[in-house]
Amino acid sequence: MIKVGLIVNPIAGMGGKVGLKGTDGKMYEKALELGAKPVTGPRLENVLKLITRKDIFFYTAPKKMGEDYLKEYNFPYEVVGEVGGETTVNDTKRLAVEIKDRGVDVIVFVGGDGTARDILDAVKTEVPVIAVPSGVKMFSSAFVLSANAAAEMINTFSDDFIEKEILDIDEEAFRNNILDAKYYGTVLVPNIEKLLQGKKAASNIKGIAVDRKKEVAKYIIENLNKDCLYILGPGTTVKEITDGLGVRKTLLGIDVLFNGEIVCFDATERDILALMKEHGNTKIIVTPIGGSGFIFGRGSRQISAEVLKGIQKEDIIIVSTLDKVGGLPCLRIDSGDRSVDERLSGEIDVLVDYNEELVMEVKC
Amino acid sequence: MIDLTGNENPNNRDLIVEIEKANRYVSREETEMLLGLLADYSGFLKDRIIVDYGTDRLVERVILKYHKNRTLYVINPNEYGFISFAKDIGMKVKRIQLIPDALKIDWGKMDIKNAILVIDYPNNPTGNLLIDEDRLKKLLEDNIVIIDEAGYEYSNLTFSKLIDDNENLCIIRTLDKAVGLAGFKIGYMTFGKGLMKCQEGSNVLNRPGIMACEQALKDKDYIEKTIERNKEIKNRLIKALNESDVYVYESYANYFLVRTEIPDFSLKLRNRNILIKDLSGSWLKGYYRISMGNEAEMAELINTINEIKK
Repeated sequence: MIKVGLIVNPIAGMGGKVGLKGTDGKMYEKALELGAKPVTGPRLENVLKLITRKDIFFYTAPKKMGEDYLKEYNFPYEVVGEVGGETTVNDTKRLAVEIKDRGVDVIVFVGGDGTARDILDAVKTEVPVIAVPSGVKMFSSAFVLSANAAAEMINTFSDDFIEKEILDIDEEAFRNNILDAKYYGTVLVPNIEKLLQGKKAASNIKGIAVDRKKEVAKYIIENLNKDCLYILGPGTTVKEITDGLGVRKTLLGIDVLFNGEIVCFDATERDILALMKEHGNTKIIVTPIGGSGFIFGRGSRQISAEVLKGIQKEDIIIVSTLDKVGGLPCLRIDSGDRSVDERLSGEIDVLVDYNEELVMEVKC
Repeated sequence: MIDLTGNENPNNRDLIVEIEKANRYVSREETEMLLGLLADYSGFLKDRIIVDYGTDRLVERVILKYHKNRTLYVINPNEYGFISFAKDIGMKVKRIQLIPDALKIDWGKMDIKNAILVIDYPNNPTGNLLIDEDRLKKLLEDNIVIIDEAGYEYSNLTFSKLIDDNENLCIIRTLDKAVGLAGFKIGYMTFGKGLMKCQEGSNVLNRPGIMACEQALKDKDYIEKTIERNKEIKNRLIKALNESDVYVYESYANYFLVRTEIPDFSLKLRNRNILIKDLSGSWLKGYYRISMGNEAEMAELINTINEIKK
């Protein structure tokens, strides 16, 4: 019998689709105003329905922090502690300690980098964790690849653990197009590297890498189609394209290009869906996250599963440099909708230089 | 400095290359003599052999004649110099990412048509075999395939018997490795009957190169000893490396791929005067190619790795 602690951050990830790049502090209220919906609950359900082991007992946080989802399944469980209407950082930390004190073998938590920091503050390395990614950025290497990976980790749980990093991302700086990621600490996670995402690697700023980005951008610009909507992902490689066109772009947000002009700056999911409806013919240009290889599902939640449902695989243009993408065994997708992820999986070309591509596999 | 980056033959050889008649071009007779020697050595048909300065130049000849409406496919990582040439003449290039630990290409998943594919056999840097006869025949239905058999003498594996029945097949080899003539950069190629345009232009080699070939190819003893020595040292080295926290992948060549968690592995070796090839520039971190050195160099490598581990 394994004893599993469960904590859900009910507001994590809500800022993603509405372009807020996080839900820390007052951003939660703003996210609600913009029509954001909870994402962590459905994410947890994707994990729970794939758990096959019978020798499991949950110690869950109350209500929407875990209990509300768990009670829909047949797992034996006990609710630990209490919460009021609105949950806070303190609830996460307090409940993590209470759950740890029940002598659990592992704590499963659902959230983003902010939630991961709170869990680390509470439990240190006293108990291992399984970090289910459901935030906005999720750049910490402690996170598993997907809901399926989390379930597999629970199903094969043993006593072999490794330390993985939690990053401290400055959300305010992130909103201002600055990725300020600092090492925050380490947690213990099950030692199954193939189920864990890599650490985000910084972009190569050496002269040759910058030149390659310019060559990639040049090729893209020369081959842009007239009357086609281009959804531009975050990152310096994609920004090189708009720099080449002489138009402004967010570094870490999503922008939409049409006939050489940015028609939507720092777009939300709703903006993107409306523009797709208006224009029809749409392509996405993204660069993988260095270190982990995610093309969708990390850091750019505005390009949601709903958006991806309206995009053909051949209309996804992936740009990178060989030094960055050649160091990855595969690309990753974790949109939150398994059917979308499976449709977009398989072989894909990554533009790595002018008229030069690397054939890679997308996995989910 | 012990240099194990070059994929060269570590055993020097004595050659007498007289620079006589420097004022005269290479004659037809000299070229014919060279082609005859290569035909005897390789088993290729003499009138279906082209010689050039290195295998890159031979691939460039195929590309130049047949690139129109074709894409060039290569495996990543690689060390090929012809990729820039292909791009310079407007050819699209696709690299196929090779992934450990399987180190295989799933050719069935890829829809490759109208391409020139260059497949090294064994693969460099892994030493693995990435294609079999059935898959090669399938690819040849819609593509030109160049099999780079630079490591043939070590692997003793070849697709040369397919040349007669497959007009889009090329096989390239080199005298740089087992024959020990890297300093002369001599490559040669045979090709199917659909690729006769590659033969347009002359066989390119200078007189010292031809003289070196003549002596080297007649010195069967050097080649056999090289291959035998390579085999012996390699087996001992693999055993020793596996005991040193360095994982060695199976190799059919005169180099092998290794993986290690030892941080800054190549840098630490470099600081101790041993050079190996770090593949992290265009491929995965923690992977290195080590070319076979001589017995003393390999012993030094093992001792140094054990020192680093401490």
